[in-house]
Amino acid sequence: MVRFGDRHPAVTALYYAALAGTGMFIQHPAVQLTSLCGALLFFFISRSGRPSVPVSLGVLALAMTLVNPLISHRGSTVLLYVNDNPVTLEALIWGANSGVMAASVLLWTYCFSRIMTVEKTLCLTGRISPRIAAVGASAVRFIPLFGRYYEDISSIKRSGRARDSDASPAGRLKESAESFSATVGLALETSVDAADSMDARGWGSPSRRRFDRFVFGWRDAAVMAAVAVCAGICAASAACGALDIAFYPVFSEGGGGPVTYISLAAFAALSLYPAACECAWLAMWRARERRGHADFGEVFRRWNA
Amino acid sequence: MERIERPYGGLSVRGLSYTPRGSSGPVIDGLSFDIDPGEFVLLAGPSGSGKTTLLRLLKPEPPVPGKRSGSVMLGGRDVLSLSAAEQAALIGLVSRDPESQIVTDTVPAELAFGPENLGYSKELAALRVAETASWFGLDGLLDRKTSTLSGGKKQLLSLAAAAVTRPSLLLLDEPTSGLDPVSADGFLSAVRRLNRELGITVVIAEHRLGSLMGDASRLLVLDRGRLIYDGCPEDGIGTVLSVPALAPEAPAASRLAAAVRKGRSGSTEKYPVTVAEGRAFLSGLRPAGPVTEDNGGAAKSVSRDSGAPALEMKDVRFRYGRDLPDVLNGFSLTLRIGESAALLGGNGSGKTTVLLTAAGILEPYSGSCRVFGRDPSAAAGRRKRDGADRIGILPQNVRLLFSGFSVREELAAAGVAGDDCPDRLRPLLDLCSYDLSAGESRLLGLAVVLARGPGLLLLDEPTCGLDGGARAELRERTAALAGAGVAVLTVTHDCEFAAESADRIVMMFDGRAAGSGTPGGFFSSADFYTTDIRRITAPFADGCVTLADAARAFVLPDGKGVSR
Repeated sequence: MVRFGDRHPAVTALYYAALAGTGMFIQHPAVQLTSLCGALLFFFISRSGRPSVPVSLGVLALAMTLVNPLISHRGSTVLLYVNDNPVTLEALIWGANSGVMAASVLLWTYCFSRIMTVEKTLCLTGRISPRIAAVGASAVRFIPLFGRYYEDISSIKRSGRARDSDASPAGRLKESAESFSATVGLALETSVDAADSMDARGWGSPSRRRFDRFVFGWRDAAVMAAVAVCAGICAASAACGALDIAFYPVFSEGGGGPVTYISLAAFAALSLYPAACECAWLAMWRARERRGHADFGEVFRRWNA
Repeated sequence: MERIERPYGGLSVRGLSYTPRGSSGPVIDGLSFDIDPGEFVLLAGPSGSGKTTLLRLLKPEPPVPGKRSGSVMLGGRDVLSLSAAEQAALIGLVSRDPESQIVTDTVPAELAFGPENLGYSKELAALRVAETASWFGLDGLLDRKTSTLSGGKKQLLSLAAAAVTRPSLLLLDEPTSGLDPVSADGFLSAVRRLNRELGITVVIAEHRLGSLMGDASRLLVLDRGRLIYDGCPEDGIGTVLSVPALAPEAPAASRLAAAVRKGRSGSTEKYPVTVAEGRAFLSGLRPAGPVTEDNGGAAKSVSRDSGAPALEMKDVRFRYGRDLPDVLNGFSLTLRIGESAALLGGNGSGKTTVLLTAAGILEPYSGSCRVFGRDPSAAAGRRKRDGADRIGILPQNVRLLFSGFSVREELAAAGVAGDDCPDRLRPLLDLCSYDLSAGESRLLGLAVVLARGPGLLLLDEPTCGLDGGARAELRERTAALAGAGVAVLTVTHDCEFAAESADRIVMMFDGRAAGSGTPGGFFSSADFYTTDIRRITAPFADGCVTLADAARAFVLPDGKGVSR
């Protein structure tokens, strides 16, 4: 039993690609609502972030719902007129559906950005090109370094100069330009040294191979296969029209047969899988705590004492 | 994975010369020496004597531009004939700057970088990373970003990353020059273990000869590109002491003996190295008389209580985050115009935080900090500062003050007139500021900071990585500044520098000033935090803190003093 985010990075990446791919191209409201539910459940169960994240995404969805009928006047069910323009039920539904889609995709992206660390990303790119991965790794190190240098350099300049409230905007601009140029100089020097250090450790030898700490097991393979099957079902039934939805002129469902229900079930399995993993994880820990295995740290300390 | 042969054998250098591109004379001039496998070689020499160049010639990748001649053989093979991969596997290199040697963002990735380049299989790479991390005690840091590590840990990581491919030769170029003494000791003990337990041949260029004298099996002394000594470390002290810029790096006991002998007794005599040997040497002498304040002593305690305060910190409290502990916990300090104070204390005692608060870079959450009567922090202050009440800060990483131009341009940008340039920088005016040695760049940094005519000068670990000559020059410059009415606050681990340059010593502990006094008084009463000279002289004389004190206080039996 491992948490969803602790699977091999390839699993996480495939899952995200499958979910975003189906969720963004299948407009079916049931698909969008399931996707949003899955994202919200996972977000809260795994404590991925502050509640302000889904709240602000909710505001975004609401705004899209309300704005769309003001812009688009298609649809046959007129609810009211604003400035002589019709506000239709269909445009409202389309807006709500798009809002839910945007919110769920953004929320999934947020959750994944928490899971996919730089190390995991590089593990995947490294398989494609070890060199690009290494360049990526040094770039990742370099950007914050640049920021720190700039902060240090400008704070030294600030403490040494005449008071800033007196400095003219032009003078201040000149000072930031000086700080920036000094930062660039220092960063370049550091990167030259870093390149020397890379050369000294055999960078550029033709046999470079990427090393990472992740182990790909049969369970990872099984999860990937299941994800691929679910996404495949959804994609196939979307391709043959079983998940078609028409919003204009009248909201109507194209499918409705067993294929539709099977593919909706497949999508539900896909989007609820992360939340289910987290639930199982929590349940396992509850059970362990009930059995009195809560504080192994204490056991360890007693043994070491 | 490439098969890399690991021949057993030492290093053999024959007639090695090197002339850099664009230079008229050779920087390395006809060096020949042999190093047996498993030796611990200490490479000494003043700044600019060619230590770094020699190390870079021993490992030709990355190449240095210029003309080289002579041969370097490692285990019977010419190093120039080794492929880049073979060199990476057989010769490890750790240089000075902890920041720029690290090339990836996490600790395991950094350790794996060498094995990846050499095409190790995943299993072998994992094993090497695991055993290296465990051996160096880095296993607790596996999830850390490299950018969050301290300088000492970064350097230790660089050492581990160089050792992960099992080199037979390890080259270290002033690896501790950017570290505080505690981290430096930790680093050097790891190097020692690599040499003793794994039998790796070590060649280390260092300014802290005293701390490595006991470990090294060989001492090489370079001066202007020539080898002036090659042999056992103890017998080389005479040579070290004979080079003025190098002499201050010799162990305190040796310098003490040299100062007392004043060159009289023959140079063939052995020099004491350790504190115990130094005491044994002194026990045969007798003090010339009690050391009091008026016959020298250590105290230059001019009473400056009357001067106007330059820096006033009262009950300052500071922490780096709401839920973090206080770093400054009611710190108070008054520094008057023309006074020079040194702030000592262990790692994490808040010394640098005091400096940054005084510079206005950090803002205390409680208490007051006034520089010439005004709050230095950026948020406060409306009046324009006119020269004398400005603050000058010399950061530990002096490169932060430069823009990567030539020395001449850096000085011009700071507004230093051509004539005011320090003499030591004159021959370097056309070099890029980043290419200067640690000592030279410290002096350039000081010149740049002083160009604004600050009334308060803040120095952060100014002696880190300096050779003896640069250290003496820095001491003279700061003394001259205090004489000219500049208040100087120095944060340092270097007790000897503090004793020689400051009027007042303040010891920090737990975010507060735990004690203070004149150098003579403070260091005489301290046992752990004191100068090496004081440690040696403690049983024999009081108030003997600096080399000059000791030279006055003790005389040879055949001298004017009466022998025991």
